[in-house]
Amino acid sequence: MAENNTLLSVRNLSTFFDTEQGPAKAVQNVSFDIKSAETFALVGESGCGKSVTALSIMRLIPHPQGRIVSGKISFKNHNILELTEKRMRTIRGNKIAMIFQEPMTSLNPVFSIGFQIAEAIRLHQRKKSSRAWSMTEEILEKVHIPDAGRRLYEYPHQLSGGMRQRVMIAMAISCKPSLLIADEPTTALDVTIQAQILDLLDELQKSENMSILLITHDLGVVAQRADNVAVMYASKIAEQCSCNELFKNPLHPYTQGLLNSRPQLGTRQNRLNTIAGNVPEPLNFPSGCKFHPRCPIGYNDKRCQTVEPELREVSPNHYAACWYAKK
Amino acid sequence: MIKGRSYWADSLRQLRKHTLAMYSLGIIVVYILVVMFIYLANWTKTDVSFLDWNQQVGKEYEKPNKQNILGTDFLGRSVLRKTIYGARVSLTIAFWASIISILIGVPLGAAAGYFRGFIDDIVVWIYTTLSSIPYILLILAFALVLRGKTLNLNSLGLGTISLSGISTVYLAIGLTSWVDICRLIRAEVMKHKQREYILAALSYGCSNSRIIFRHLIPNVFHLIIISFSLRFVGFIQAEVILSFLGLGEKNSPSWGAMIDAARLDLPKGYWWEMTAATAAIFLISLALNIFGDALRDSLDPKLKVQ
Amino acid sequence: MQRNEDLRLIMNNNNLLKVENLKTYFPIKKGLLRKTIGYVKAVDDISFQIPAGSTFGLVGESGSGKTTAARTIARLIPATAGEVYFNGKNILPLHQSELRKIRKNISMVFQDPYSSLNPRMTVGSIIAEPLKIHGIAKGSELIDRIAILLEKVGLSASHINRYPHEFSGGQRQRIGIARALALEPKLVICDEPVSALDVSIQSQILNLLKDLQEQFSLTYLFIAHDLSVVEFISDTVAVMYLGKIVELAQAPVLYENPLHPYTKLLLSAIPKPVPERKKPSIYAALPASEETVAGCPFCGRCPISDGFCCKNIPPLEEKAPGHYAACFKAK
Repeated sequence: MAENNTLLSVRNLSTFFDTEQGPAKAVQNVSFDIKSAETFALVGESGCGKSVTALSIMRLIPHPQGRIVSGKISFKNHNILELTEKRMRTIRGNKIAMIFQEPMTSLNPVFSIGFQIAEAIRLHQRKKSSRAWSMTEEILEKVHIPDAGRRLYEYPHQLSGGMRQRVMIAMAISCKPSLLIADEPTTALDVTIQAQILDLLDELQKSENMSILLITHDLGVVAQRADNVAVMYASKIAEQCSCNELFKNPLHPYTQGLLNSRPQLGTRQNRLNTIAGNVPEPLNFPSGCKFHPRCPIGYNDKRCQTVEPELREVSPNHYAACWYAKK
Repeated sequence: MIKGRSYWADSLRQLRKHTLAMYSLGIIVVYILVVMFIYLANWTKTDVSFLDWNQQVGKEYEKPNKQNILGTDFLGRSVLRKTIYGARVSLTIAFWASIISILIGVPLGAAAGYFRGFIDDIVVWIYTTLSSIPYILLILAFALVLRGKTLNLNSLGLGTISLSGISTVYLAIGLTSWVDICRLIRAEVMKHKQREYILAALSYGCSNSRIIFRHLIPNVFHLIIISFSLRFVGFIQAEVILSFLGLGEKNSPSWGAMIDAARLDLPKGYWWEMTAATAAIFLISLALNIFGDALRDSLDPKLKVQ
Repeated sequence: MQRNEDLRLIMNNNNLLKVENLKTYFPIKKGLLRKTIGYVKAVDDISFQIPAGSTFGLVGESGSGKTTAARTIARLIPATAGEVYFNGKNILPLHQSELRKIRKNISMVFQDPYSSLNPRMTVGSIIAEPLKIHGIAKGSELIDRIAILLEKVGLSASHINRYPHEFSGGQRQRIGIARALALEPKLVICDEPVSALDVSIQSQILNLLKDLQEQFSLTYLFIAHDLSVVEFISDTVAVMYLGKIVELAQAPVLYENPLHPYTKLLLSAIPKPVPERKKPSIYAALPASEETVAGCPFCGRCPISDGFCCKNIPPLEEKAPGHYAACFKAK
C-alpha cells in the first residue's frame, strides 16, 4: 500500500547472524515507512537491532555470518533486497547515504578530507577531478566548516570530533541522496557540538529535500528532531507512532520506562526510576514477550510470559506490541 | 559457582574445529615424539642399535629399496636413520633458540614499553643496532666466538656446559633473534598500558612489577605463543644455513649437514639424501605454518565472532 | 589512629579533600632533540573542597580537563603545581611507600566497562587483588569478602569464577564498583561511570552509587559530561572549561540560576525529551575556536564577550553566597 510520497518501505525485515550456538536473531519482522522529506527515528538501546536494520537497508551486512532472512525493502520502486551488488553500489552512497557514530574510524586517515569527498563525487557523479574538487569546497561550506578552502587539504586527525562529523555529513550529501541514514551521529560528540550537528542536519534536510533515518538511543534527540518514531527492543519494534504521540502518550511499558528513567533536570530526585534487569542477548531471548522479565506488568503475567504480542494499532497510527496497551 | 569461560578456553574450542590445523598439530606431535624417544633412549641407555645412524647398513649410495627405504649415503649408512636423528638436532636447536630469544626479548620489550624513557631508549638502541647488522654475519660471529668455550654455571649449580655443536648453534641463533619478539611485546605493552584496568591497578596500589607480570604479560602472552610457533620454522631453517657454513653440529647428523653433503652428490644422480632431508624440513615447516596461523586466528581477541 | 583522622577532619571543617591551585601541564616536545616548545595546560589552577560524606560533581566537555584533574588527584598523573589535601595531609609529594597507605582510602571507578577490567582474570581475582596486595584477607575469609561485595553491588556471588566478557556493560560496571569498594575507601573518584552505558542501565547504576554512599558513608568526586546525571547525584557542582573552573555552586542553584555563559550554553544544549521544535539558541551558534587567547578561555565562543574579556583572565569570584563564577559580566 505505497503512498505517493513514501520514499522507503521496509516490510517484515529479518536479519540473522550465524554463530556457534545457533542463529542470533538480530532483527525480526521489522516494518516501517519513511516518507520523503521526513525525519524518522529508530530508537533503542545497544543490542536492540537498530544498527543492523540500517545496515540491512544498505545491504552492508557482513557475509557469510550475517544474512537477511526475509523481508522486502522498497526504495523508489526498487526492491533493494533483489538488486545485484552492482546495482546496489549505484544506490549506496548515491541515493541512500549513511553516516556513522565514530567519525575517526569512518574517515580514511591517510587521505586529506578534500580527497575523500571528491572521490565520492567522482565515483558517483562521474565528474572530472577538477570539477569534483571545486564542488567539494562548496559542500564544505554548506556544512559550515569555516575556512573551507584551506580545510580541504587537512587530514582527519587534524580536525576535532565535531568537524569530522561535518566532513562525514559533507561526504554523505555530496551526491544529493534522497535518504540519509544517520547511525548515532552525535553519540560520540560533546553535548554542545551535538546540538550544532543536529541543527545542521535539520537545515540540510530542508535545503536538500531529503529524508533522514535517525538512529539513536537518546530520546531527547528524538524529541526535538523526529516526525515519526519506532522504538526497538530486542530485535523487534515495541512501539511506533508520531513523535508527539510518543512523548505525550507512550503505550509500551518499555517506552514508559525509558522516558521515566532519565534524570530530570531541575527536580531534586532522591532516586531515579529504573527498568530492572538487563537487555537480553540475541542468543538468549526470553520466551513470550521479550520485555516481560523487566516489565512491571508482564513479569508475573502468564500470557506475557508465553505468547509474544503482535504489533497492533492501539489508537490511530499508534502501534504497540503489548497485550496491555490501551488508549 | 558458575564455571567461567576464559579466553583460552574459547580459543581452544575454535582451534579444535580447524581440521587442517589439527592434522598439522598431529604431524608436529609425531616429530616431537620421535625426538623425545631418542633423548629418552640416550638417557636411559636403552639399546637402540636398530636406530644407529652410524652403522653401515648397505652398500654406498644405494637407491631407496625394500631394505633401506630412503637409501644410503656415501658411507652406506641409512638415510632414514640419519633423517630421524636429524630431527633431534633441528628441533632441539629450534626449541632452545626460541626459548632464549623469548627469555631475552620479552622482559626487555616489556620493560621498554612499560617504563619508557631512559630504559626504552637503551633497549631500542640495542636492538636497532643489532638488527642493522646482517643476520648471517651476526650468527657467524657469535658461533665462531662461542665454539670451544665452556659456560661456567657452577654458581648456579648447573655445572659447566661445554659449548660446541648444538649449543653453539642455538645460543648464536637465540642471542641474535630476539629483536622481533622484543619489538612486538614493546608495542603491545605500550598499547595495553593505556587501558583502564592498568590505571585501576595503579590506583589501588599495585606495584610496577606486579602490573607487568600479573596484568600485562598475561594479556600479551598469546603473542608470545604465536611468535614461538611461527618462528620455530625460521630457526629450523637457520640451522640449515649454519650447517652450510660449516658451523653446525658435527657429531650427529642434522638436516642441514645432510643437505650440505648431498648437494655435491646431486649432479651425480644421488637424489635421495637431499630429498629426504628437504622433505623432512618441508613437512614440519608446513605443519608449523598452518598450525601457527590457525593459532593466531584463534588467539586474537579482536577476531572473535561476537 | 581513627581518632587522629577524625580530629584532622574536624580541624579541616570536615573537608575530606581539598584541592588548591592544582595545575597539570603536559609539555609539547618538538624537533630532533625533543625541546619543550610549550605546554598543554590540561588543568590550569583549580581549587575546590569536598566535605566528607558529600558528592562533588565536576562537569565539562572533552578537553575541559576534568578527567586529567581526577587522575592527578588520584596520583595517576604527576601534578605540575598545587596541593591536594586528603584528610589534611598533602598527598602530592608523598613517596611510593606512604602513597600506598593513602591508596587504600582513595579508589576510582572508570568509564569504560570494557577496558576497566582485566579480561584474563576472573571476577573473583579482580576484586580480590586490592585485598591481596594490602594483605587484608586471604583464603576463605577473602572469598567471603568478595561474595559480600558482589552482593552489595547487585550481582550474585556465584559469578565469582566467571570472566568479564561474559557480562553486560552494566554488570561489568558493577564489578568495577565492587573492586573500588574492596578496600573500604573514604573517597571514591568516579570518572564518567555511566557515560558508556545504556540509558535504562544508567539509572540503575546511579541509584546503586547513591545507595552505597549512604551505606558506607562514602565521599564522591563525580566526573561527567552529562549535566542531568551530575545534578541528580551531586551536592556541589563545578563546571570546567579548558582547564579552569568557570562556575561553582550548590547543585540546585547552578541549574536554577547559572551565571557563566558556558554553563548557560551547556544547559541549553541538553536535548530535552519534550517534543517541540527546538528554538535555536544564540549560545549554540558559534563553533569552538582553536586559537589560544590571553584572556578568558571562553571569549571566542561567548555571545556576550568583548575586547576586555579577551585580554584579561576573569578570576573565580564569589558572586552570591556559595556561588562562584569566572566571568566579568556575571553578577
